Amino acid sequence: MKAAQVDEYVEFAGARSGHLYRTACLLAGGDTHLAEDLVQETLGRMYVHWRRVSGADNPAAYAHTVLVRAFLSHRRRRSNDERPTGHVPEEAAATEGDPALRLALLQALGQLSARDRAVVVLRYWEDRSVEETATALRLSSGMVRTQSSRALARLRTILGSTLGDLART
Amino acid sequence: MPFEDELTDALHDTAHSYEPPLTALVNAGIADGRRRGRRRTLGIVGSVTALALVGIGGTFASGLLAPGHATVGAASGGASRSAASGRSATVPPPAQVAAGPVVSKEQMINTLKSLLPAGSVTKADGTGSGGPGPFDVAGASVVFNDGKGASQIDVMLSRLATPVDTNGPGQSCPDPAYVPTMQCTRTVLADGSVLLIQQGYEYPDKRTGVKDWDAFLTATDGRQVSMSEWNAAQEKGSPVSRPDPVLSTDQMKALVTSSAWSTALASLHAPKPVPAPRSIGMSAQEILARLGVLIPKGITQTSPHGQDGFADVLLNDGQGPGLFQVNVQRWKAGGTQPDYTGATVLPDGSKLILRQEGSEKGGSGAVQRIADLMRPDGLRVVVMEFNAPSQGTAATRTDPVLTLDQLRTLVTSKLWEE
Repeated sequence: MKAAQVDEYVEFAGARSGHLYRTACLLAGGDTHLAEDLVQETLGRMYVHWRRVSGADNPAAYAHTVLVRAFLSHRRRRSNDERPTGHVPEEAAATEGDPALRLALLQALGQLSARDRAVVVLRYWEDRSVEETATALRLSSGMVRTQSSRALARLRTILGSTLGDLART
Repeated sequence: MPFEDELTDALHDTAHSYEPPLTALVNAGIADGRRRGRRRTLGIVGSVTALALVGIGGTFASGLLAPGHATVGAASGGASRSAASGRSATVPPPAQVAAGPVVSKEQMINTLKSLLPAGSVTKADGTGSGGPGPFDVAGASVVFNDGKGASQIDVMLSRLATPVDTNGPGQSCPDPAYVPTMQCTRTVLADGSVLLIQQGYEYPDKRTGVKDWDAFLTATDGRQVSMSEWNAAQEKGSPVSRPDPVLSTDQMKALVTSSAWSTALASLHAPKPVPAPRSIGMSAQEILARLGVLIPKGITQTSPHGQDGFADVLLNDGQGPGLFQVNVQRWKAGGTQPDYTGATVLPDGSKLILRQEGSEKGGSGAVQRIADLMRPDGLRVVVMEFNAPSQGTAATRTDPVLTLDQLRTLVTSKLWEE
């Protein structure tokens, strides 16, 4: 890469890696080591293809697509090897917010299938449309809608009124 | 509140409870990309150290890594720099190298197989030469089992720009202050080639126990054969399958020095020389010389390292060594700047941040002290010190060697202006 492209890449990576990491933490059910690996792989892939990617309409959205695909491919490779959920960072627990709620949410996410989890994270954390989610996951829009409602129902069952109760306390 | 909204709120709250290790992520991403590009496994140590300090501001502002700053040379890859100092202003003429006939992926895989001892290959993939993309490389990757456990073995052939950058991949052993878990030997062979053998871990903190052993052979004309092997069937995501990777250091040497690679090497185009980035003006030597004056009497300085704009040294006041790092950067006055929110503004208009915190790279009991000064003319001096001889390891002393007051005196010294 030319120096100017490296500049551009580093600027991009610096600006986006925080958000990518947080997304990865949700996908990984709180496993921060896995999250770091996923972000590393994503940024690495972006680096290799930077010349092409940087000219794309929305490199940031593309990076998140790469991240979600890296996560799904990781889960295919090692389906039984995820660390337990609940690696909520201690410093965060000390700040504002509710650690119990976070733990409950991560555990609930951990009970979803990888693809359902990806759908939930893309739609409700990344605020992606059904169509965008479908593109990222290489699914039809209809399948995203189905999976989305199934995942929501599952989360509602697992969490019960936990979210509302915790948020109000 | 509808469940969807509650869920959205909870996802946001949880996501934001994670503090991203930005510097580590960006460095790891660049390293990963370069590894994908041409398996330059450990040439990134320089950029890691430089970016580690640049990241202190918490943002990678536009222009931060503009040509002229030390980090660019490091991040853009050793092959694009001309010399250790990065100071060469002359650009060598383009090499007129006619590449030989391309070799196929199958030829690469077969050559690698032919160089392995008795055993079985369960998986093989490769890249022939003459492919598209910015890097002309050829490589092969196999999962090999000698009967005592699977081991992934990768070989990558590439051509580095000449003169070969002495900071580039496979040229020198990394600073043990940053990779304390690695053993590394460097040998200059009779024909002037440099052989580097590294025995480390996939994760330097040994998190998974997967070992990553690498050998690099670099000829003076830039031809490079590098190999990596792991004591696992995959570099990542696969458990340890044997105590050590399958090939011994002697076998690694034999593999990278084999003449079986010569046809494939001859098929690679030499890269076009790239102009060296401008120097930022203060070399590691100049920084270390100033430290010699500025560090209080009675404190020893050992193990100096550095590159343009960056230096580190071990300080010792008799209570044990502490790693001490300095960055000197030249920013455009009035241009985009790092975030100095909360900084003290000194009478001359300089902004100063003094901070002590848990070490960002972890390590039991490790703390770091930081003084980050930006002068109105754009000169930035950042020092960072640890209560351990390396970053990311457990504390070996109660506090870093210098106090925050001493750091303030050091960064505000007029000596940096020269």
